[in-house]
Amino acid sequence: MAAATVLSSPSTFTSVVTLFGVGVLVTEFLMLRAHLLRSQVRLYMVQSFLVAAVALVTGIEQGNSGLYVVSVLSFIIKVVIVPMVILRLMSVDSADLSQSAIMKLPSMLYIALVTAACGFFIGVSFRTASVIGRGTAASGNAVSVDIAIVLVAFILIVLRRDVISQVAGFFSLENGVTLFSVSVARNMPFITEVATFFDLLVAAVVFGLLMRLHHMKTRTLSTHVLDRLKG
Amino acid sequence: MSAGTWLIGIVVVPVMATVLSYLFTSVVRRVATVVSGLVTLALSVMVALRVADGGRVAAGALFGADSLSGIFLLVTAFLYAATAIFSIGYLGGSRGMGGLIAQRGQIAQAVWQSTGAGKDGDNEEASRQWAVSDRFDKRFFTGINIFCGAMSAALVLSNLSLVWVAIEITTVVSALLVSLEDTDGASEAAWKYVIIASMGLGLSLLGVLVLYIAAVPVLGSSHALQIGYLVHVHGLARGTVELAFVLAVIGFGTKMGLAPMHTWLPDAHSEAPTPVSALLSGSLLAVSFYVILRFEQVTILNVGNVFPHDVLFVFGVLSLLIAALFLLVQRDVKRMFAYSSVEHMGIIAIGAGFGVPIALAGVMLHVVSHGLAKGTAFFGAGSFKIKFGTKDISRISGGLTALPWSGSLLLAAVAALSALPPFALFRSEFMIVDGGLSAGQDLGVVVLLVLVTVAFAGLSWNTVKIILSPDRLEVAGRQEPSVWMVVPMLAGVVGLILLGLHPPADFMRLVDSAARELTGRVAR
Repeated sequence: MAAATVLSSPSTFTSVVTLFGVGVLVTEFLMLRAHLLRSQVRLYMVQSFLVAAVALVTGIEQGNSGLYVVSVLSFIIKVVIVPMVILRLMSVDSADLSQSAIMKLPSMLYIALVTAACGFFIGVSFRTASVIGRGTAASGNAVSVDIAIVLVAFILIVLRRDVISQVAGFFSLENGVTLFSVSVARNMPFITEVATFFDLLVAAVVFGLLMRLHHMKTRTLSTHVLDRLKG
Repeated sequence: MSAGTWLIGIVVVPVMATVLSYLFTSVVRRVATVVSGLVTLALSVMVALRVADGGRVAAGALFGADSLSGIFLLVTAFLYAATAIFSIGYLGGSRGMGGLIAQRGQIAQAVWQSTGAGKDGDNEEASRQWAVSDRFDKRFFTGINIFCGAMSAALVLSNLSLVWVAIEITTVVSALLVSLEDTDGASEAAWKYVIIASMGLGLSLLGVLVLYIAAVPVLGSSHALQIGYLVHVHGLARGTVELAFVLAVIGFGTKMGLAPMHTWLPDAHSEAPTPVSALLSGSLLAVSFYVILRFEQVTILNVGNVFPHDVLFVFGVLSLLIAALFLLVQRDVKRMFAYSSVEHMGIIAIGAGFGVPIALAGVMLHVVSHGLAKGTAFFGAGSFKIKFGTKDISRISGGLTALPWSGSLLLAAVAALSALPPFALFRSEFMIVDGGLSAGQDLGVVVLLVLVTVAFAGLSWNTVKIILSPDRLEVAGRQEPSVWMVVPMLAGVVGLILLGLHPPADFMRLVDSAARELTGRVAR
């Protein structure tokens, strides 16, 4: 009850959502610089936990029970199941779990910072062009943060050449979209949320299967070897 | 039975076939898949006829279809049925001809028979090989049914976010199907496909959410993603709708094979089992385009037609340019047809970019015709792969001698893809060019014609080499791998000629109605 009272203040709620969003973005940067792929997966767990927390906070603020379910599903699928699938796969090959970056760390971080800045600018122009004052939300800086998260996820996928980082990048991108869905595009139909989670679950299983197939074929988790098909 | 029930049937029938394929033996799998394909085709034709004059059929708030859906349903259902029939010959044929897919099954059969393992059951290796072969068979037919069911569902679902879910399911299922042949190439192609397509779909989901944000103030949260409402709504925030449209074009355009997001496509289409290649190329690209058109409808109503048309035109020209150049240097039959798909998606996007009714009618006809032609072409490539044991163009010759039916039909399909008369693609491209001229897009028409001619050179040169050149390799016998593989090719070519020479009146009413859906409520 106390939490609901505190969060019912729009400024407090917006601050909390933005703070958690920034936390998600920070975990993405940490994923980018993580040397060990296991660390990336653990950072993804933290990131997903933050997303689940945003759903819970938003649910409390809105009194929307659907968001509680979203929060619980986020926790179960993203904090527990997806990392478990990836870590189980990694247990079969621990030889090359680091050094998959295609450039030096400072260069990668510079690129990610510039990309995040672009995301912020897109978010700002998006807010001024459209939704503020139209009654659908747009939690302050949350739009900018969410778009930055999505764009930095692309950097993670492109600049790290191993299947774990690419999958982590994809799920991180998905976290950014989920955050956007929860904090900005509120009151999405419940069936949409559930269907999206189901879809994510299927995607996690398929990614796992294809990672395993890749490992069986190449005996590595690196994607450097994927250069057979050209032209 | 009401029209709404037909829509439910279009989704439920493939699901039933999926369950049967997973649970029962190879014969049941084949029967269930063919029956499901044919029933889905019949239901799609009935829906298309119902909406041919405009209007909409619906089943509750979940399912709905209009003439635009009807066009894409026809091509998806036709390829579902054709692929189901072709697959019977392809899997059986490859076993019989010492071919591709069931090599393990063939080896196992030989071991089984030579050792008498079938009698005493003591040959574990043969037993294991049979199990692997049966597992492949089960995964193939189960996957095909889920894949086609998800594509059909994307076309009849009323909620845009659920359409996205259906498209994402097509991605994960088809990625597994691409990897099914278990080669190094298939593994590489599947990985690239699932990563690139998923990234694209992540962006497209963002596009759906942005559109939702734009629509909520006008439609309310319960109707904000309902297609039936969205395609009539005015007064959405301009900047938001524009952002949603761009995200949708990039995101769903990745699945559609628009350049520069097309890089997964040649790999996946060339390494997938041939029936899957046909579905990827003929159906999946079209279904992705369908979703882009839904976004375009909303964008035109709220932003005007210049912005969406320009965006589509730019992506179309880029796709056509890249495809035309790569077609000149292809050495792999299936890869060549994959680039041909990028080419035709470019033509379709350019036609949509012209935006006038005649061009849009041409685009609708092109979607159907391309599905028929590309399905036939990939089926032909599959027959050649089995007969010659390779996809390498330099190692194939005398196709017409070795495969008189498949060779002739493949030649006809390539002629159709090159937009030669009397095939339907000639008519559709003519309509698109006519539309471009009437829209005053003379330069666009010139670019289109030049690039199409370059693509024609690459496609026809390579096809002539494999089909009409003398049989220097002396491949044994003038024998088709299977009659099951010829029948769907024949149906495709007959359809192309029919739609080219004298398209049925009902079909043309559907085409016109779909074109009106895209132009009839243009905001100026």
